[in-house]
Amino acid sequence: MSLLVAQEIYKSFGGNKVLQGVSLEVSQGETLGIVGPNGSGKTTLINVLSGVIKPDSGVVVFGGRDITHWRPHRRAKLGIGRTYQITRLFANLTAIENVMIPLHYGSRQEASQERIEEILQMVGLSHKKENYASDLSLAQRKRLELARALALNPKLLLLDEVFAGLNPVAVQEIVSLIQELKNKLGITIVIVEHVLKALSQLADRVVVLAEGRLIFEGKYEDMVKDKEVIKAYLGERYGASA
Amino acid sequence: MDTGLQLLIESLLLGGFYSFMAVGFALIWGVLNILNLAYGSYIILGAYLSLFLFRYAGLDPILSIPVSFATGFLFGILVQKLIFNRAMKLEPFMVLIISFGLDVLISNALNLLFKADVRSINVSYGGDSFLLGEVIISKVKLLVFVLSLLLTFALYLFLNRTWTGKAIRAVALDRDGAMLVGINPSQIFLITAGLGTAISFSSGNLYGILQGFTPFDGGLLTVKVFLISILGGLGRIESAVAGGFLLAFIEIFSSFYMGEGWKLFVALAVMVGVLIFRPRGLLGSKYYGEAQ
Amino acid sequence: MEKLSKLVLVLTLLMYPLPLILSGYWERVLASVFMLTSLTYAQNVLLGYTGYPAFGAIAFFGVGGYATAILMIKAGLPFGVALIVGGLVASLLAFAIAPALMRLKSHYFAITTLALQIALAELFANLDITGGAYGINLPIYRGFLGTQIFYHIFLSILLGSFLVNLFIEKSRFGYALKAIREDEIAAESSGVNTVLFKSVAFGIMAFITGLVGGTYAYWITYIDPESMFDPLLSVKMFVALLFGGVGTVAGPFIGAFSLELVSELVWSKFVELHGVVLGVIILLVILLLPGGVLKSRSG
Repeated sequence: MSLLVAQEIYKSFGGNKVLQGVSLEVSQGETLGIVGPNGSGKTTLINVLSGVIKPDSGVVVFGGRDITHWRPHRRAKLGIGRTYQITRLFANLTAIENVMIPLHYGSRQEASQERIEEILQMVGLSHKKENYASDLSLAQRKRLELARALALNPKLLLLDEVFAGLNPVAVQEIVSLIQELKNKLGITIVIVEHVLKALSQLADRVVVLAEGRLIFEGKYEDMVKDKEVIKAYLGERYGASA
Repeated sequence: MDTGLQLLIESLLLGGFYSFMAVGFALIWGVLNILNLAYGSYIILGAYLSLFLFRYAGLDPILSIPVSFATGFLFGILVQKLIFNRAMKLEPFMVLIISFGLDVLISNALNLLFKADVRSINVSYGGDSFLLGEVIISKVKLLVFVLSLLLTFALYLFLNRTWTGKAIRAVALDRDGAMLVGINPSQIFLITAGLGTAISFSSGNLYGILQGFTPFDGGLLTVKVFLISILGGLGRIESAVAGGFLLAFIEIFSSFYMGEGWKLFVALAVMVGVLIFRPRGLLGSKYYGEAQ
Repeated sequence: MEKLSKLVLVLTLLMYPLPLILSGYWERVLASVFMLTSLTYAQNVLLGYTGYPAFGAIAFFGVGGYATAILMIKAGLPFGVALIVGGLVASLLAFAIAPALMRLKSHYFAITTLALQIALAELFANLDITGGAYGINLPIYRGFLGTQIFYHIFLSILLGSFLVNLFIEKSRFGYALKAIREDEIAAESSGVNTVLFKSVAFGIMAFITGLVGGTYAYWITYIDPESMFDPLLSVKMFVALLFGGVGTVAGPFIGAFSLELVSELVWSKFVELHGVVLGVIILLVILLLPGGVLKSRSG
């Protein structure tokens, strides 16, 4: 059964057509990877799915409900959590407070100290719980953002380049963390990623965006061999000779 | 007599002056991202300077425009170095408060020096007017209109034809990009602050022969240059000129048909609408409320 | 409750019996200090906790003042009722325009609220019901405690606005506002209805500001657009807030008391220099102390 369906999403900024009729479906429990060259519309797609940006046309359905016109806070309450390419934490609040806010306002759960600590424990930040978000390292900030999304008790996680800027060790740690979330909590995940190695470990299925259109959909192993995809990444000349 | 035509001519004459008066404000805003609430007081400073020169050196306010320009240029650079360079590192709205503090300081200092009486510069050609068809035209207003257009056009040529002018426009469009092609932004900031302030001082000379003034008239003038910048939009001289004529048009027509007291309210109501519903301004190329 | 907040509370309560020993002059000085402090607390709700600088917040001071005066004079309501309704009118106006207004941020928001303030002043200078440019005369209060009553009303508004700030500092509601201040998009994604909460914050600010305006109107017994929409009051309020520390519970108290007392001393000593000195104070406070005396961290 599809948890999330996006149909014929169009979005332009000024004259710049960023999404040109993108459709995709994500099944319950699945992890879908989205890849594509810079400027192909990946982040815009995540923004449309999480409600930060309104599409010009198209429909977004979540759990059978049309949420196209819902603002992000309602989607959060429905169980759509997300992270940002450049972290957007509550910088002058502590890790505990960062988690407490979505717990209280998003998941409508009791924001008890135990629950907050449990979530911070899950992402491995227990020892930093009293620290201000702005004082954390990049890898810790990424973890805290993940914790904040988890506090929504999400059915769907939208992860926008969680690995960007991290060293290989940190990448591997967060890959394991996401795998654990997936297996333990059964969360459905849509992940936009440049780090292909991490994606190969996480994604059950991959779609490729190029110039606002889907040009590939299938297994990761097939994607790396696909001519269209290579062409989109490397340009016409290399694609032809590949 | 055709009232509509008379009002239209009045709007045009006033609009020319408004355009010139506001160009400096829009320039500073566009290039330095400073909304200088002391700008109106700068204009009044220029008016008092030209009054002083008129009284004690017998210099006609029109002939003393170069003096005001040069004084304003130096004053602008000084204030930029002493105050705004530091303020620009803070939150933008802090700069707003600082510039208001500067306004309070200047207007009260003028009040200490000149008292709150209304001053005027009585030039010999002050009261004359002539008939053009059925329209009455005041000579002073026409003179101010022509000078304003000439000065604004000179600024236009400066910004479009000279290297420094092009560098100023480049910094306004894209600060980082300008740095990449070897433009030193801090130097451009100084020149722009000087130029913008020079324009405000010079427009003070023209303001002084158009009407009487007191040390506390700066606030209203700041509101006007702000209105003009919002109505026209930021980014180009043409925008400020369009805004200037539009404000003059709104003021003249609303005060004739609704009463003098309503003109500012009508202009402000239009502006609040523009700010909320068309934040680019009518001709502007830049978006005011750009979210991060 | 942290030490400084406790101190503010104790000091505030201690000031209730003070008129017993104060001269009329100091009673009036303190009443105006309380007034500025309350305004600063109101602004702290919006700028300090929600992150929106309403530079023209005095618009609601004017609306509250005029509404109170009109309700008393034209509708014959007793002062207490007129004051509360006046505060509500200011607050409802703010709440209604907030969704459109608060799409703007930082100095664009600031300057638009200032435009609103000037526009309202112009409007009130032209309407019949507000007495046009001549304004409105109010009766002189001759009831219980005489004019000393205004000392107590201002002090009570100060106490109330302090408690509102304390509540915001500590409560879940306050965390919604702080989330908006820190990152509005992230707040939305965390389930916070940002449009609702920032409108409520704007409404609270306007309510307190309106109450202060209403009390002021009855205190000075004569209002006109110039005195009720004075940009200088906005600026004093911001300087007090920035001096004391934005987004802290004790900051507005410290800032407003020091600024208004210093200003009063200067005023009485050098009447002529007052404006110049105020200008210099504004410049120095912002340039030398941009973070304020108290730093807000977790707020």
